[in-house]
Amino acid sequence: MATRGLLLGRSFSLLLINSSKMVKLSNGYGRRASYSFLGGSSNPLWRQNSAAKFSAKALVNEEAPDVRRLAKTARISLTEQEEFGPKIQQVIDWFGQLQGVDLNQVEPGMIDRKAEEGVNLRDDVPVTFPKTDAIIEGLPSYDEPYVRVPKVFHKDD
Amino acid sequence: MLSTLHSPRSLSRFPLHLTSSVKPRAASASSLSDYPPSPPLPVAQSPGGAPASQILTIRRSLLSGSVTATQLAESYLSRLRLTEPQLNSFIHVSDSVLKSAQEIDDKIAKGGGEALGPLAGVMVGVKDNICTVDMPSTGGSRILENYRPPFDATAVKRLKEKGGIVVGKTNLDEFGMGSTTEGSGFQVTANPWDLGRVPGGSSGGSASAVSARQCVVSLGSDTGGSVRQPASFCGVVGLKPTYGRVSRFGLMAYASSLDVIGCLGTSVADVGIFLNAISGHDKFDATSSKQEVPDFESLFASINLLESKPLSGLKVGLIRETLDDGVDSGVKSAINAAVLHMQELGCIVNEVSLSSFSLGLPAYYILASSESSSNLSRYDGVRYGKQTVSDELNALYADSRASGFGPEVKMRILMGTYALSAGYYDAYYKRAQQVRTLIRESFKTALDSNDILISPAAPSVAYEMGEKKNDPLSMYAGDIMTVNVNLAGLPALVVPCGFVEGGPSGLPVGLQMIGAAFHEEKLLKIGHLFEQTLQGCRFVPPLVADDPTWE
Repeated sequence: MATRGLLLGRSFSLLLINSSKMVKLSNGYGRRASYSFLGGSSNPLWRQNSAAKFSAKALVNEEAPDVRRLAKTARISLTEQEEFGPKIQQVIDWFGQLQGVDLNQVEPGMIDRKAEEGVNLRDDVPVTFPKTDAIIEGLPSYDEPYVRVPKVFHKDD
Repeated sequence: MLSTLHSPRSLSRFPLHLTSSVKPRAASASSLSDYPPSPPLPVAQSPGGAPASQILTIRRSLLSGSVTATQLAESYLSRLRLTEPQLNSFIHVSDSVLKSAQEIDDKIAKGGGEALGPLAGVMVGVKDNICTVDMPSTGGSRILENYRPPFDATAVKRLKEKGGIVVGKTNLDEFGMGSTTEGSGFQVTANPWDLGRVPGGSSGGSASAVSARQCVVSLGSDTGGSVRQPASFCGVVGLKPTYGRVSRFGLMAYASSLDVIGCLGTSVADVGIFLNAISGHDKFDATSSKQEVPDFESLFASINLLESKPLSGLKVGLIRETLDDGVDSGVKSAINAAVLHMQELGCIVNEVSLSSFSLGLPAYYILASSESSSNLSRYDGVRYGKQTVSDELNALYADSRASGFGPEVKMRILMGTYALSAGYYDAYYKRAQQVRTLIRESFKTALDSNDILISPAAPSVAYEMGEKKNDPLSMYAGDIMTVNVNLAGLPALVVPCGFVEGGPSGLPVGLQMIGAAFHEEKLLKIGHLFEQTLQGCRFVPPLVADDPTWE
């Protein structure tokens, strides 16, 4: 039972162990029903869940996402990191349900119409855009003919 | 409850329709006996059905001279002004509407009918993440407050060329991220059916504007259901075209492999005519398809409503996974009634099961977050948009983005950054793409043996405002019906099919029909027949129906 809970994401394993009712866990739709059955994040079972330390290792990673590092990579300064952390954790745990699916031999899919329509590119011929003045009007800091930015090089990263 | 049935006076505006000899829906004897029977509906005695096409009616009136484009524009603008304080569908209303209407009147006076495009005099709302050169385009975000694009999106350019008048930019969840329109950086839009409820999202403003008859049709964008779910919540028709049918040039990118521009209107015919006007290959969009665009307008002319079983032999697959627990019983009843209606029209409705259906939701959110983290990196406060004062470049980026983006956008960018970061790409993004292949193949199999597939457009009717604000997973769960269609790139049409108790006169429910790639004409034909023969329902919200100037 614990293994099954593991495959489908840490967040739901507590439900599986504690509930005597058979919840349809293989069906993500049943998962949503069970989520609403739990009454959402205000339910004590959920609060207990996110704080619990599990002995079993998750398939992907055990550490919570480093929100500070993510924010730096994404170039967004975050003052309310504490607020984002648990929400992101919750969603990433939910993403984890894809781990249990057998995806051997399946090609990652993008919509590709090259076979039916051929290459769909413009001719490689430069064309002048007629409204460059409108572009310049949109620049927040324009110092003709430069786009002004603050200093690029700095000592500490 | 169904007080939206119009008094005879109000039907005079619309052409009289000869409805086919369809019996009123039976309250029992369903061939799909494991679903709850639909509640008994009052039988409508009024002869008129829903209007076939407002666009064609407008065209006829303009050509016959019974109304001028200016009068029409003034009447829509006055209704807009009357209802806007309660609805807030528009972030920006154009100040050149009457000027454009005058130009159309001049054209008619000079050259007569031949000069008029197919959308002549038609008022169009444009979602604010679609660029318009003469109006601000904010994407619903403070980071682009007052941004004026130097170009029109291709869809906007085409609708203008065909005579359409852009009445304004409609409200949306920031950059298309959200399912309620509460995620807008500017204002909250209300649902015309119940002002305390959301219109859906992210094209909530477009749906509410059409529903409240502030405009005739509107443009929205659909990445995970953002045209179809608000169409269902607001009781209007919404179409998501096949990926590549409409050019994405000028649509602010959210998830490039999932985004499409879609149409909303009060009737299937209007949506079809509008789709025709904006579709087609575009050299500025390498993902736009060279497939020929069928003439959707002539499609409607050829449909014979007097035939007793016009859809005889059509195979319809009802997706089994969309009627499980978690779907409101009222929605299930409405869909069940729609199934009976389709059977009366001659369809053969059977159940289909789509394996991997439930995996679509996490796969979608992984893919959409990942692609959006890349697409939104262009908002750096340097070339356009809001810029904060900083003495160092990285701080400029970080602070401009932090002060401009809302919390949902920040969260999705962070989740996407995580899913794409080194070490996690294979676990999340690649697996999601593989799931995408599974979903696409399961749809293809189902559509090989069925003409169309049907499902509810959403598991519930419109939520109350604030209901989903602090619970991201619960909000994401509402997209279960729609995301798989985006993953597969298929077209889908949502047609209002019934009501559920709630609000002053009930809350609308939409039926989603999914078709094979580039076969919108099949969806439109079926949707049009379904809509024209639907008795007992009139999808005009009380906000409009109670207005004494509404004729």
